[in-house]
Amino acid sequence: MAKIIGVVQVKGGVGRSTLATNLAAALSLEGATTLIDGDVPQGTSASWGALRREAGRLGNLTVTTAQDHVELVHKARQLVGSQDYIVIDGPPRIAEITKVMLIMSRLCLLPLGASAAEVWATGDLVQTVEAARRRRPEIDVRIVWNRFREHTRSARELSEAVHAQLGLEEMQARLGYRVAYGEALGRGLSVSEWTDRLARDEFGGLVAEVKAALA
Amino acid sequence: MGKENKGRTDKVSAMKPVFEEALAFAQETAPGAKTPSPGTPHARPSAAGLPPAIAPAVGAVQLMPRDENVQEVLRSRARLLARLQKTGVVEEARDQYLCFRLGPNELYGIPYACLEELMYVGSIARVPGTPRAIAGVVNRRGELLSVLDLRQFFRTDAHEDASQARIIVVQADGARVGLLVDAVEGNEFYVPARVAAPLSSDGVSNIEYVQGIYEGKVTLLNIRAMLADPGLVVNRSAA
Ligand SMILES: Nc1ncnc2c1ncn2[C@@H]1O[C@H](COP(=O)(O)OP(=O)(O)OP(=O)(O)O)[C@@H](O)[C@H]1O
Ligand SMILES: [Mg+2]
Repeated sequence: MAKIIGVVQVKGGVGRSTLATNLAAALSLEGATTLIDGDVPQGTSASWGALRREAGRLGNLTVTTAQDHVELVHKARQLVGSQDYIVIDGPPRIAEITKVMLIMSRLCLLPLGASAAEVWATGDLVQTVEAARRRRPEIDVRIVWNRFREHTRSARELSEAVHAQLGLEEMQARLGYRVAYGEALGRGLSVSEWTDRLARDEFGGLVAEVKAALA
Repeated sequence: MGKENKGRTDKVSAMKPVFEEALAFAQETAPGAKTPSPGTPHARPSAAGLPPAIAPAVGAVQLMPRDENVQEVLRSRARLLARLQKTGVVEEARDQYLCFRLGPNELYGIPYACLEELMYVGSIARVPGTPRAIAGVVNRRGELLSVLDLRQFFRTDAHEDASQARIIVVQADGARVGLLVDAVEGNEFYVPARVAAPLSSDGVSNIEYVQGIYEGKVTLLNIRAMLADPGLVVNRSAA
C-alpha cells in the first residue's frame, strides 16, 4: 500500500516543488511512485514531469495533477493500492488541498528557509496542523531546512526557535543554497542526476531519513 | 503471493476512513481556513502565456496531460525556470535583511546578523520617566525586553492599522532590544557594497543610526549604533 508524503508550506517559493520532485525521483528508484502536483495551474512539478518524460527518465514514476482537494483524494484513493509511494506537491496557502494532505499523509514535509521571518510566517499553518491532529493525532509533520546558509543564523538558534515557537520536529538533513536545485528542476532531473556532489549527498541524506521515518 | 495480496487489500480498505476524514477536515472552517498571514505577501510568478484551456486540460482523470499544446507550454515554462535560475547565479556578495514598514509606506531594513526573532505585539508596559521613543517593556519568555517605538524614533507618519504591527527583536554586542514597527514585509537580499551613504538632507531624523539607503528606497539601520546608545536600552543583558 502506498505511503503518502505531502509537501506543505503556506509561504510561496520556499522549495515545495524542489523537495517534491527530488523526493519523487529518489523514491521511484525504490518502487512505483506517483507525484501529484496539487498546485495547478502553476504546475511546477507537472512541468518537471513533462521534461522528465521527454528525457525518457520517468521509469517507475508517474506524474499527475489535482485541481482541488476532491480530485486529490479521489486520485490518492485510486492509486493507494497500486503504488508504493505517493508524493504530493501542495499549494502555497492553507487551502482545502493542504488540509486533506495533512490528514492523508503518513509524513508531511514542511520546507522552511533559514530566517526568522519564514519561521514566523509558518505560524498559521501550525494552527492548522494542530486542528488536523485533533482528528488524527499521529500526523507527522517535519521541517526541512532549505536554502540553509550556516552563517545567517546559527543552526542551534533556529532549531530552538522552531521548537519553541512552532512545536515541530525537524529533519536532520538540510538543503543548502545551491544552483544545482534550480538547474536540475529546469531539466526534469533530480539533483542526484546532476553534477553537484554536495547537493547529491545532502539530498541523499534527506531521502534516507524520509525512508526511515516511513518504515 | 495470495497472502501478500490479501494483506494489501486489507490495508487499502483501512485507509478508507482516512480519506473520509481528510474530506471532512477540508470542510471544517476555523481556524485553518484563513488565507496566508497578512505580513507575508508572496509574489507568485504569473501563469503568463498559459492559455485558459490548460487548466481543464490538466485536470480530470488522465495521468499526465497528453495534449501537445499543453506539453509545449509546460516545457517552455520549465526552460524559463532554468534560465531564471541561471541569471541568478552571477552573485555579488549578498546579504539578507529583514524589510519592514513604518507608517503607510516607508521601508526600513535590518541586516540578518542582528535579527533575533519576531513577536506579535502583546501588552507593552510603559516605563515612567523614559523618553517617548521607548514604548515600554514586554515580557519575553520571562525576560524583560525594552521596546523602542520606531515611529516615534524616526518621526514617521502615524499609521492607524495596528493589525500588522510586530516587535522585531534585535541584538548586537550582548545588548538586545525590541523594535515596534507597523508591518514586516519579509526578507530580501542586498548588496552591502551598493548601500548609499545616508544624507542628512534625506529628511531622516536620527541619522546616526542609519547605515545607508539601499536602492533609493530602503533605509538600512545600524543596529549596533542603536544598541550602544545607553539612552535607548533600558536593560542590558549578557547574550
Ligand atoms: N536549496 C535551494 N538552493 C537554490 N535554489 C533553490 C533551492 N530551493 C529552491 N530553489 C529555487 O527557488 C525557486 C522556488 O523553489 P520551488 O519552486 O521549489 O518553491 P515552491 O515553494 O514550490 O514555490 P511556488 O510557491 O512558486 O510553488 C526555484 O527557482 C528553485 O529552483
Ligand atoms: Mg511549487
